[in-house]
Amino acid sequence: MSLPADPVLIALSAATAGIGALGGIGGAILLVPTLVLLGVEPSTAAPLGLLSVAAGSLAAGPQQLSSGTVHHRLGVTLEVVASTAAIIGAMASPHVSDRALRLVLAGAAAASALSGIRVRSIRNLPDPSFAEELPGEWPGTLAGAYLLDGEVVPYRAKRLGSGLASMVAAGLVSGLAGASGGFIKTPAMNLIMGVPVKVAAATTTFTVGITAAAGLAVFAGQGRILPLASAAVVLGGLLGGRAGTMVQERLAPGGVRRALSLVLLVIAALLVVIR
Amino acid sequence: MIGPPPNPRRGRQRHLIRALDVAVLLVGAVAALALVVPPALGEQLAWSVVAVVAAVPVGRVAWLAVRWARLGDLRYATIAAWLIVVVTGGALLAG
Repeated sequence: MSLPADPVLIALSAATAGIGALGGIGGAILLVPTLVLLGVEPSTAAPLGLLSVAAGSLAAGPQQLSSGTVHHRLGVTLEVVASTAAIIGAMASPHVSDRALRLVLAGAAAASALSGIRVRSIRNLPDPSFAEELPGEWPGTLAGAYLLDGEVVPYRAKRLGSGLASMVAAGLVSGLAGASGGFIKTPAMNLIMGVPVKVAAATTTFTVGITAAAGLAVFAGQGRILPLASAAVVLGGLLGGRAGTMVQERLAPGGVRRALSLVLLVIAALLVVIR
Repeated sequence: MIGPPPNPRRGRQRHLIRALDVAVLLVGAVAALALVVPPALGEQLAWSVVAVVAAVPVGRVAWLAVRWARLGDLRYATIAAWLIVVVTGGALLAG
């Protein structure tokens, strides 16, 4: 089946970006499987997914920079590995069968669903001895501080080797399937490296844009980017991402995330069952 | 402590924040335009949307690399520069 018409693509991209933003998982993990279930080949849907990721990262950038929660040094360090893996995944993807790509996508959707259902996070506690410390990242280190209810919470990223290993998986999923890999990155930074979940999520949003850029560069070289469909997806992604972020602040995130997880599990099952 | 203290980093990043805001508006407007003009022109505009969306995060890393180098944080400036080499190298290999 060919791609849906541009207005349908805009609506799909806006809806998935909006819903994805509500659940804090981004839109691509919904958009790519939906396109595949509509009959679009996974190899065609993957670049559109990365464009949705890049648009979401771009749209969120100004607000997250203003809040000072992104740890750029940590993000850049992890991204060297993630981007390398994304490039390898994107280069390998033409040689992977559509059936295998569907299974990768189904695995990604299921993993994302499970990470949403079982939300567990490391809690970093305020430290009065850092009361005079300004929030933000500390130059020359993978440490920093952020504000929690007016108190300063210091943190330091640990187990860098294990964190970098997780980024290989995140990058490969991005390059192969066009999903953002954020569902791997944020839990890895939080649970493995001990970075506060708020900082981990903001840093992930920054890094998935770079991973997407790395994958898109390869897809462009392979001639797999459809320009007008790309414009439709980017436009929908920007609109939906902004709307979702605005609504998100008024909703309880736990319930939304669990509902979204159920949808993702159904999508994963359909991707495996429907041929 | 009553409320958050002023964050000097916010002030120093205001140019980047403004640049990203402009990029969001520009990309959105050009993407919308690409879908309503004749297809030949639309495709050219759409390619520029793809190029900007992919270039902005890399440009942000370049901005960080320069900023960290100026601050004397050479370790992370080098890592940022290496990341740019990885991404552009991937593009060159695929092209």
